[in-house]
Amino acid sequence: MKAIIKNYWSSLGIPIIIAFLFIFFSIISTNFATADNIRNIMRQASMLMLASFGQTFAVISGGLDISVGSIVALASVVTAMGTLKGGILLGCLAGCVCGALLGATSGFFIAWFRVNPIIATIGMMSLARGLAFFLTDGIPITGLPKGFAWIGSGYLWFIPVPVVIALLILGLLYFLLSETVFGRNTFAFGGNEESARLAGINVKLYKLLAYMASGLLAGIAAIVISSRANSGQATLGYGLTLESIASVVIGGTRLFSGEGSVTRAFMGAIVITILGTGMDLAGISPYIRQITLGVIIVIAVMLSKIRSHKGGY
Amino acid sequence: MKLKRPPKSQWEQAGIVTILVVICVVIALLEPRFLSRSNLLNVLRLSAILALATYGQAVVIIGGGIDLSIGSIAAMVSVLSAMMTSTLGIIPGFVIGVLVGAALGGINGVLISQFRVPAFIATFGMLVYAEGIANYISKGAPIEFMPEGFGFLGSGYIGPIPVPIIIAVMMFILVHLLLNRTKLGRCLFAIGGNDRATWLSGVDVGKYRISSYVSSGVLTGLAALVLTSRINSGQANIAPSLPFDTIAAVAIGGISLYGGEGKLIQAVLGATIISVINNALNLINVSTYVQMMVMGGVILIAVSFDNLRRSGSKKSLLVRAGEISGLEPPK
Repeated sequence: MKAIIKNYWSSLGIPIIIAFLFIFFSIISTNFATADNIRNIMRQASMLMLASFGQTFAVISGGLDISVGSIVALASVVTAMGTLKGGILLGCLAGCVCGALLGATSGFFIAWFRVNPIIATIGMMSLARGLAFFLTDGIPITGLPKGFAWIGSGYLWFIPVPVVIALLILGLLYFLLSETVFGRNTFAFGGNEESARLAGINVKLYKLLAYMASGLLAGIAAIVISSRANSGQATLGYGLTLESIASVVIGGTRLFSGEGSVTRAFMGAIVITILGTGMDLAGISPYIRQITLGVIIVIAVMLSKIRSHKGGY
Repeated sequence: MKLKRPPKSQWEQAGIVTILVVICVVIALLEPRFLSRSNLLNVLRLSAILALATYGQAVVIIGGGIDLSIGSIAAMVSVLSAMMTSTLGIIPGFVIGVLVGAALGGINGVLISQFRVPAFIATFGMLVYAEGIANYISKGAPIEFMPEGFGFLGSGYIGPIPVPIIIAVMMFILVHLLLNRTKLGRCLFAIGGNDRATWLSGVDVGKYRISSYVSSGVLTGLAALVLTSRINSGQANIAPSLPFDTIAAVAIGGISLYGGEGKLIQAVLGATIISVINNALNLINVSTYVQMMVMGGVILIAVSFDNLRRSGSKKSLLVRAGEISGLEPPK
């Protein structure tokens, strides 16, 4: 009986949670189940999804990326500056490159100097956030060309652009991780580095690539978020790190085990976004929201340990 | 039992002291104000506060864990002790502060040892939700108007010596005795070195782990009380960078982040270096943003350096694989 429940929970658990939360918040707030709000939720969720996809890469490599929010901040500033200098395309490219470079730097310290990923990305967090503020003095970069806002606030037919971007990238990453050699190798070392290395996989390189991917996806998220805010700001991304970890963990992924799934991150992001939007609409204090996220992460990790029966000492 | 040490540990300590002296000399040359009496006293006060928190972090790290929640434990202690002082008086306020620190540390310890939550997640979670609770209780605003005498702990003197330094020295002696002369201390070194082996030899690993986190909570609470007293108000954002500063201090001081070894004096040296650097950056009027960047860089470099130095140690393949893959500790 337990096994049946476990099986079903794995595949149906999260959609059930999503449905439950949706109904719950619709009852609490009258304007939750409106078309406007649902579109808003989809937009918000897409931005979180991008960050969560990046976090998934870090989790698959056996670590965590604490610098996601700060990379978004710096990439946002870089994107805005680039757009002002040379147009939207240049700006977006600059943002992506910025994210990828920052991620690669973290990855370098993690892979070559064996710095613990959490500590390394905490260091990067301070570096990136500090640099973002240093470049802008905390003042938003505005005056961006009209087309820029379309990425974050526009529509493709009736679908918000961020949703399209997120779904496209979800598909791309799913294919990358499940069908390519790159994907297979990426999964190989998170659980047991030594055996992966012995099997001939360049663990150092793949670790660096994992964090570079995380940074790149943070950069893409930064473009969408900056576009929605129609400015580049060093104050963006606060809380994004936490939410991306929560998304991954609620999606059912076990941490530090070399597993991860972009589809789980996708669904986790929806849960977290519904939770956040619902709480906001219900007038619940943002501090309570922070407390909830922190507690969720701890409980979800606890439950995943119990579920796995791992480590029979 | 004698545990393996990195070679030339005496040289390493001399090296760190040299670095500290060199940094101080360079700063003094660049900015003579550094050597002014008021500034030196300030640096000593702040490094005493950081040292208190670093003792806690060092104890936890020696035991093989890590405490990322220090900043939020400080927040809770600051807010709650300030609130309680307003209603119950200074001494009860302080006592409650220490108890809150112990309780939060205990929660960390239990989650990590009984519920098998990895130390990073448990303490990171505490960092997040405790900050939320502290902010919620204090409604995001500082708690002011403390009674007379509240500032003694942070700004007062006993004779010519600032109180925080006296507290830091006292706690140094206490924690040093704890680490080197008690069963708890010896077991922590053993657990940090190889927790599985220690568990197999019959030691109650869980109990000692919880104790290490409780100690960290208490020491952080003390640091928070001194700081709160110094600024005469209870705030949730009293020391947001504390967890990172203490980890950097431990790494710079030369204590291995993997655990199993370390001398408390290293924690003191590391804390002093970090405080001196912070103070110098303040003096040169470098913006807070650049300070953040510098601290981030310092963490990365210090830990990398530490790892490079340690790459010669011959840990067994199994232990290394276990560390890398993040296998959980036994109960």
